[in-house]
Amino acid sequence: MHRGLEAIVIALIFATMWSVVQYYAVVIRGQLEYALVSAHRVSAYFLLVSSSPGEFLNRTISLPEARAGLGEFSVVVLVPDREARDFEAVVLSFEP
Amino acid sequence: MLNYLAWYSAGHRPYVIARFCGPLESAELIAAARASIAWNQSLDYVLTRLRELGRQYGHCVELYNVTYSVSRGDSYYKVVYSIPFLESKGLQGQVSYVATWNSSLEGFYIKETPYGALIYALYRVKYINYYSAPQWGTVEYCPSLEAPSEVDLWRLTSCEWLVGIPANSTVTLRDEFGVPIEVGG
Repeated sequence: MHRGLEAIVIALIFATMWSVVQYYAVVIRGQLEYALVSAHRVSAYFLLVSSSPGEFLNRTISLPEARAGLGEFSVVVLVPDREARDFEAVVLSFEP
Repeated sequence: MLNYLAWYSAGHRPYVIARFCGPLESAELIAAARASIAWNQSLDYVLTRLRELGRQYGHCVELYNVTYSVSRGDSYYKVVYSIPFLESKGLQGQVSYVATWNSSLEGFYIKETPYGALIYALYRVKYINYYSAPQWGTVEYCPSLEAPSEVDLWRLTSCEWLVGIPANSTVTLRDEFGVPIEVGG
């Protein structure tokens, strides 16, 4: 292959890869990290103001991003259960 | 393809990718402090249980390694944790739970009961919780109160209550978490 053509092809490949990597780093990873931090913060707040595992779950799943059970971003929250005098693990998932 | 890879890794390694240390563990420590008072169990016992479950569910258990002080007075509970892991990172490493209340006698009234007319004392009670952690500062919350059947209870504002109890008696109210509060005397 002509050296000049080869250089152009290599430059194109690098340019494409760079933009893909940049897209991943800035957009996708950014969204995932934001979702992760938000999921933990919202779980922490609702844990502070909920008096039972059921109340915590109802409050949290009222958010459009949240679901009960395992999913894309799963957060396990240990909620004190007054009746059982123990912690109950409530599993939530959040969509980025 | 990258979206798929992100979904795949999140879906199949939920506790690895969703591991973000800090706010949730601090909130769980506060909930544990509140629960130990409500359940009348030692905080050591409750924290041991929290650590066991935390390890099981992949929490950042290094944040559960705490030293703590518990103080109780006539009108407050205070639990302050020091978290060496946060301090070793140069952060302010204190998480605290404070419940405070104060009551003032407003007057008296007569209440008809199955045992005849009784004189009731009417108290105004202000009850507030403060939850502090380096991740969010301080959250102020006013839990609801529960009372035995012979007690009259009215909520005035989110933090203020009117409580009617038989005169010259003391009653124990409980907040929505089960934390006991004494009113009267």
